[in-house]
Amino acid sequence: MVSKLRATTAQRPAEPILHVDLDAFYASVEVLKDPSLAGKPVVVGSSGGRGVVMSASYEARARGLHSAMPSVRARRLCPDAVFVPPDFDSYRAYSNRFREILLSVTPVVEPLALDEAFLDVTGAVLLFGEPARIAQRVRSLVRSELSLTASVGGGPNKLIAKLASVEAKPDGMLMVPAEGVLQFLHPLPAEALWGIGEKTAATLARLGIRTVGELARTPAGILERVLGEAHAGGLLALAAGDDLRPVVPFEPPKSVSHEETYPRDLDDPDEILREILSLCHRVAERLRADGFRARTVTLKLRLPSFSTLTRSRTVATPTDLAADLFRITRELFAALPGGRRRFRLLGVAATGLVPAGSEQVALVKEGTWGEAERALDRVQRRFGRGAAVPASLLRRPGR
Amino acid sequence: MKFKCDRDALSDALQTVQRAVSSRPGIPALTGVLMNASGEELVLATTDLEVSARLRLPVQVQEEGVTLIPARLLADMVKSFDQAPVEFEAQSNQARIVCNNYEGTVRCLPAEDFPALQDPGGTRVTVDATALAEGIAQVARAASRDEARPILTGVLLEINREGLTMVATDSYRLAVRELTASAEGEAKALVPERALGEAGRAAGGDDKGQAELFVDQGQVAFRSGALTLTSRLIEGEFPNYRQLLPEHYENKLTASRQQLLDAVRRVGLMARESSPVKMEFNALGVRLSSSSPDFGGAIESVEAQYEGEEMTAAFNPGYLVDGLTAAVGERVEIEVRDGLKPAVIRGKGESYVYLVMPVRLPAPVG
Repeated sequence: MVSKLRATTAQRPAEPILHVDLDAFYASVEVLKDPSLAGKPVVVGSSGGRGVVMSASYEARARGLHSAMPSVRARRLCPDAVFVPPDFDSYRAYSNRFREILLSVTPVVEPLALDEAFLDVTGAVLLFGEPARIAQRVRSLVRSELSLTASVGGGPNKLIAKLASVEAKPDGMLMVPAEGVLQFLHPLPAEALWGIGEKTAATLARLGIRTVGELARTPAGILERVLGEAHAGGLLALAAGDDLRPVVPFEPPKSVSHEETYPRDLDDPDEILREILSLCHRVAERLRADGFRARTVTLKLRLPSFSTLTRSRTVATPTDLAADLFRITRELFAALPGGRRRFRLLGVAATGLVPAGSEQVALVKEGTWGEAERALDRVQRRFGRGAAVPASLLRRPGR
Repeated sequence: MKFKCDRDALSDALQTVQRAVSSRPGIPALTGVLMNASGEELVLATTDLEVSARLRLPVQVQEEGVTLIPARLLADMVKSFDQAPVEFEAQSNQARIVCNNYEGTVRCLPAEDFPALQDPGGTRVTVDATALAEGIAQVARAASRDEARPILTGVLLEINREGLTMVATDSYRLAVRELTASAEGEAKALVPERALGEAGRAAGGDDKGQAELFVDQGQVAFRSGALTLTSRLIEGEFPNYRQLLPEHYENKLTASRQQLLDAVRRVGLMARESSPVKMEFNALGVRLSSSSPDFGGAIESVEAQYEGEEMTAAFNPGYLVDGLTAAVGERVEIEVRDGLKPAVIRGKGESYVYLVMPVRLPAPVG
C-alpha cells in the first residue's frame, strides 16, 4: 500500500492544472448552426439601441470588436457584421457535450462558464500521460466531436493555467513549466492578474508599476499603503506565481436569474405583469433543468433614471415552479409604493437554492401546476423554446 | 353514592376510559370521569366530544348515585394503590377514597355539565374482535396526520352483507383490509383514525370473542366486552379507492417478508432527509440502495423470486416498512409497474392490499 502511494506521488506532475476555453464560443456555435456565416464577422447580441456584443467571431475581433462593447459602436466599427440573437438552448447543449469531454479525462472539472473550465489532471496522468498530452487530447476531442476549437493553458496552478490559455488563443495551447513561471508571468501587464481592475491598475501606474514583474519587485510596505494589507498581500502572492486555490469539481449555482432591458420603457401594469410572468417561467425552467429549488425570490425593477428597486421574499417551501414565483413576484410588485411608474428593466432572481432531490408521487392528485410546467419543459425540449407557452404570454407585443 | 371494588379491576377500567378524556381543559366537565353506580355495577363514562368511552364494571354498590371526578387524578391515585379492596364514597361535592391505610379526598366536578351520551344505534355489524384489531392496525397507519386534509385523517368503513372493508390513505399510500362480518344492512362511515385506533386497542389482546359496530348518522359505536366507544364521523366524500386499485401487474417479487422488512429498515437508515430507498428488481431478487450526500449510503441485495422485466423504483422507506409490517404471513408479494405507478404489497391471502406510490428520482443533470 505504502509503496503504491509513493509510486503515485512520484508521478505527480509539476504542472497538473489545465484551463480549457472554447474559442469565440457563442459565435462559433452560430456558425455551426448556419454555415453560411463562416468567415464573416459574426456578433452574438442584440443589434438594438441598448444591446451589447456578447460574443464576436475572430473575423469580427480583427475589426476591433470585443464582447461587452455596445452594439451601436460595434456596428459603426464594422458595418458588415452579422448580428445574431443569442440562443442559450444551443449554447447549453454544446456546453453539456463539452463538459462530457472534460469529464472523460478527469472527474476533477471545475466549470467556470458554459465555455471554460479548470481541470486538475494529477490523477489522470496515470491513464492518459503527461498534462500536455491530456491537453492535446481535449483539444482534438473538442474538434472531432463538437467541430469547435479550444485553447488550453497548463501550469502549476489555476492562475498560470488561465493566463497561459489567454496567451494560447485562438486554437492553441501553452504549457508553462513550474520553473518557467516567473519568466512567463513577469512580462505580462499587471491587469492580467485577478484583483487588478481599472482602478487598481491606475493606482499602480502612478507608482510606475505596469507589469507583473514590476509589481513583484515592489516592496510590500509601499503596496500596503496604497492598496491595504490584504489586497497587497494577495497581489504579491499572485505576482510571485503563487495560487493555492484548488480545482473544485462542482460549484452549485448560488442563484438563477433572468432580466430583460426593454426597447422602450414599460408602464402598463398588465404588460409589466406579463413580462414578470415570462421571466418567472424562464427562471423556473432553469431551476428545474439544473435540479434546484429556490427559497428566496427577488423582483428587480430599474427606473428610467437608472435607480434600481429590489424586493425579496423568502418562502417556507422551496419551489421550482413559475406559478409560485409569479404569485410571489406579483405580490411584491403590487406592494410597491407610488402609482403608475415606468421601468426600463425587469428581473426575477431565485436564490437560497437547495437541490430538488426526489419527489414523492401522490396517489390522489391535487395541485397540477408542477405537472403542467414539467410537461411544458418536455414540449420545449422537443420542439424548441416557445413551442408551448402559458396562454397569457401568447400575444406579447413585440415578440 | 358508595361502592367497593377490587383495585386492579378499577385501575384497568380507569386507564381505559381515560383515553377519551379531553386533553384541552376548556370545559372542566370534560376532564372528568362520570361514575354511575346502580344495581350491581358501576358505569364509567368519559368524552372529549369527539370520542366517548363507556365501561361497565361489576362492583359492590352500597348506595346508588352519580358523581363526576377528575379522571387523570383518580386514575393515577388508584394506580398507585397496592392490590387491596378500594372503597369509594361521594357526597355532594367531595369524594372519599380509601385503600388499606390510605385515605384521600377529591373535589367533584359539576356532573350536570357532563354531556349526555347517546346509546349506540343504526346498522349493526358483528365481527371477530381479534380480526378487527388486526385489521385496524393494518389500515390505520396509512391514514393522514395532516389536519389540513380532514377527510384523509379518517378510516373508511364500508359495510355490506359480505363483510366489512376498512380503507385509509394519506394520498401517498393506500391500505385496504376486508373482514368477514355479519351485518344487518349496508352502511358507510368515515371514522377519525384516533377513535378507530382506540377501538383496535380495546379489541386486541386476549381473545375478546365478538365485537360489535353500530353505524349511525353522524356517529359510530364500537362495543367489545364491557367497553363501548363512540365517535363522531368525519363529513365529506372519501376518494374512490376502488378506482385507485390497479389490476394485477406482470412484474411480481415474492420474498421472505421478515428478510425484506429487515433489509428495508437497515438500508432505510441511510435514506436521510426524505431521500428514498431505491429498489432494483432483477432475476436474482431485489437490490436495495440508499444514499444521502451528507451521511453516506447503503446497499443490500435480498434474494427472492422475481417474475417480470428488470426495473427500478424508489420509495419512502417508512411507507415500505408500514406495508411490510402490516402484511401478515411468512411470504410477501410486491407487484410493480414502473417508477411512477404504485407498487402493491400483499401478504398471505387476498384480504389485505397496501399500495405505495414511488418517489420520482431527480432527473439526471445535464
